[in-house]
Amino acid sequence: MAEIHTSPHLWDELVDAHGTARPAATALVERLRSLDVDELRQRQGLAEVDMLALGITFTVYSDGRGTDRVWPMDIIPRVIAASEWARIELGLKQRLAALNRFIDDVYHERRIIADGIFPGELLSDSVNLRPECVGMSPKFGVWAHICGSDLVRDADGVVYVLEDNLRVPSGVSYMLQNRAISKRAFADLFERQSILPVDDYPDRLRRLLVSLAATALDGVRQPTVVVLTPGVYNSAYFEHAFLAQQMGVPLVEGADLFVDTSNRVWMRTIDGPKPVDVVYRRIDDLYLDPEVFDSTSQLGVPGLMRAWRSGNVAIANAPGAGVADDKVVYAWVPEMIRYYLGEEPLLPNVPTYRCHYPDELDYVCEHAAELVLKPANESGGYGLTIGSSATDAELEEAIAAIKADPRNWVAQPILQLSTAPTLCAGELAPRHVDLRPFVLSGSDTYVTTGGLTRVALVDGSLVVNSSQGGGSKDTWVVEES
Amino acid sequence: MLLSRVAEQLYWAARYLERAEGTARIVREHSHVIVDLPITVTPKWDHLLAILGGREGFDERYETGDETSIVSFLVADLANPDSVHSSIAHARDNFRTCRDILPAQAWNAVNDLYLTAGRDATESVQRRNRARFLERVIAEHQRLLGILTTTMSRDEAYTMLRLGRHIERADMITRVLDVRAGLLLGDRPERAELYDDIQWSSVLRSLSALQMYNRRSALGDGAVEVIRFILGETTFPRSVAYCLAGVESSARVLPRSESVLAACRGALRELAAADPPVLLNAGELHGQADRLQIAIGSINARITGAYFGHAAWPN
Repeated sequence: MAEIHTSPHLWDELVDAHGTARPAATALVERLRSLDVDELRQRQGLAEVDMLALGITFTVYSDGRGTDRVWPMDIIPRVIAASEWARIELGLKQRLAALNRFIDDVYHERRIIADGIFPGELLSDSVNLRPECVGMSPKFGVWAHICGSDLVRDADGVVYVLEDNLRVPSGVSYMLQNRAISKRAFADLFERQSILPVDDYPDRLRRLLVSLAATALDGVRQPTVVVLTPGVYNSAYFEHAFLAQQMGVPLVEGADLFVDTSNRVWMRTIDGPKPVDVVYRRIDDLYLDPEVFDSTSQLGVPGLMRAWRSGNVAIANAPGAGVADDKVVYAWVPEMIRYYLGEEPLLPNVPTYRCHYPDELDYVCEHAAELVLKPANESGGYGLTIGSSATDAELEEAIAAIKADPRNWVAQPILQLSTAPTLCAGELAPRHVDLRPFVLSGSDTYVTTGGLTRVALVDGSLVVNSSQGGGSKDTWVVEES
Repeated sequence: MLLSRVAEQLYWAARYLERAEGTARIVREHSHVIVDLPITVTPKWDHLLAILGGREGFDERYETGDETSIVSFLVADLANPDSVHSSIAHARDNFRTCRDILPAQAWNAVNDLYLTAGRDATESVQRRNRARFLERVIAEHQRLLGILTTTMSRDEAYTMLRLGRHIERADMITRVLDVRAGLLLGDRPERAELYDDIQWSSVLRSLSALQMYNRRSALGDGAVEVIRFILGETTFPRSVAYCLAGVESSARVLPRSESVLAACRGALRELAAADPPVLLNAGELHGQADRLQIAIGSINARITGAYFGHAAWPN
């Protein structure tokens, strides 16, 4: 019989401090307690065989050969009550509405600066502000069409937004694959309770992308959507191919496209050039178009920005959307919500110290050992220093880096990330988790049911990124009976 | 709508996979027939290098042309770009970049094949493991073909796969005929004729053609019939005639295929000109095989020019 261990002082997603199942997790916890650990390990083993056979892998190129590793997934799902999810979903929709208004404002009148809400000097050296985008008006006023926001729960049970990934967020394919695997591992539980489905994401994404095509299409031809990938060497290539396959649209590389002198985008097919209307790009702004950005980039399409600026092609996410994907800009999202929407934020931010301000910088330097120190524009957990576990030398190094470039650093209190029982070396041990739901914004807004739960597989670790030893879990949004 | 880059990947994936299967059949048959030969006839393992190519690569990496070295080179060696293992790995790399348009099961099948090769290829050099591994390669490729045949629309992507498969198979057949049959017709050791039946059967078997040959409706026996069957039997899927017909009918449904079709007609003319009784002369046979290979190479060049990469896209 499997025993569910928890850590004192931490919030566990499946059981409370007394070991009692949280209401939405009752059926799962009962099932876990009825099985012994060996049986769970056997199911875990079968899941890993399935994943390898299905090619659910990510590729590590550090050894020079391109080794495929199975996506590390823990079969024990993480459960969220549908009633709680409904509130989170509203909060995310509200947040994305404000973020898109902010991006649009930044590239137009900058009212939020004129009105004294947002400090304009922060934009002047933002690495993600694209002067080339000024004055552009993407359809529906939406710039960040696909967003992955990271949510964490602190020891008090409150769910916070940790960051918003507005550039090229990844992970949604693993959300879908995790569900396919967990349906096999816990088939009976899907029959006994209402676990909300996640499978409509590719269809929603396809419909969103089609809707972004310029309305000036001749009305006969269906808009052509493509997924633009940096290629097979990208660690998220599996996802690019998976999404293209699920949507039934071509997966293209930069060299498959070209832009003609009339600023139209074409793809090179065996039957000659074919027009392209919508590009779901999975490459960063700076590699999109060597005519405008990094001139050495082989990944992008020369002229793509011309085509976009001429309104001949829609790009998702829009170039420049990353201006709001910045750990400093993040600190103003609650103000944005109040300013643009006239509403109170439904989902709180993690309190954030902005090193841009001298008093906050002083506080951060003095209390570095109690804080998480984050560079503004890194992703994947890189460059991050966790004060409580850093050595003195590491802390000094981080503080020196902050003082050299304070605008690009923020610090946050070390949250006691919630845990979920995870199958580790023969027992169900508590491991820290976060959650990345995906938000699609177009003429309306769609939020995935749950999202990708990431788990730090190493005992005590708070880093959940797959590039750094993290894994994932299926996320069950369960209707309480 | 098929991207030029993807078309090229598919075409070559099909060629690699067909090459892996063809090589597996040839090595399996050679290992099998060797056992039946008298001790006085020294087994010639380097015939396999002559058929499958790679003599230079082999000499660079191996000291002696013994069975173990040659089988290792042809089956398991990742440094040989044409080995069974390499071919499977190349095909899988290509399929990986086309996953969006292939049936999901097709990717799984190629991935299985790749995992099998990674696990078992090296061990398969030993005789006792060899046949099992090679048969597994053949069977898993057949499974893939079954998946493609029963689940994939007959679209341009499917046609590219079909094109690659038939080109590769036609090429492989001409090489088997050239080397294996050429040896039977050339300078021979004493009493070798006692084993001619075994050897001619073996030529057929390495193309998996023996059973269908025996069931054929035509009369006659011996070398002329074997050559006629392998070159010209339009109903048999492992004959040159059948493969060229497959290439032609594939090209016919592709856009902008005039140049490819012209090259197909050239190859078919070359085939029609082949006269089996004349080919009983080893020199004639070699010349004929050479001309067919050049014709097949020319179809490949036209396909490349019409559809792939920069050749098709001057800007």
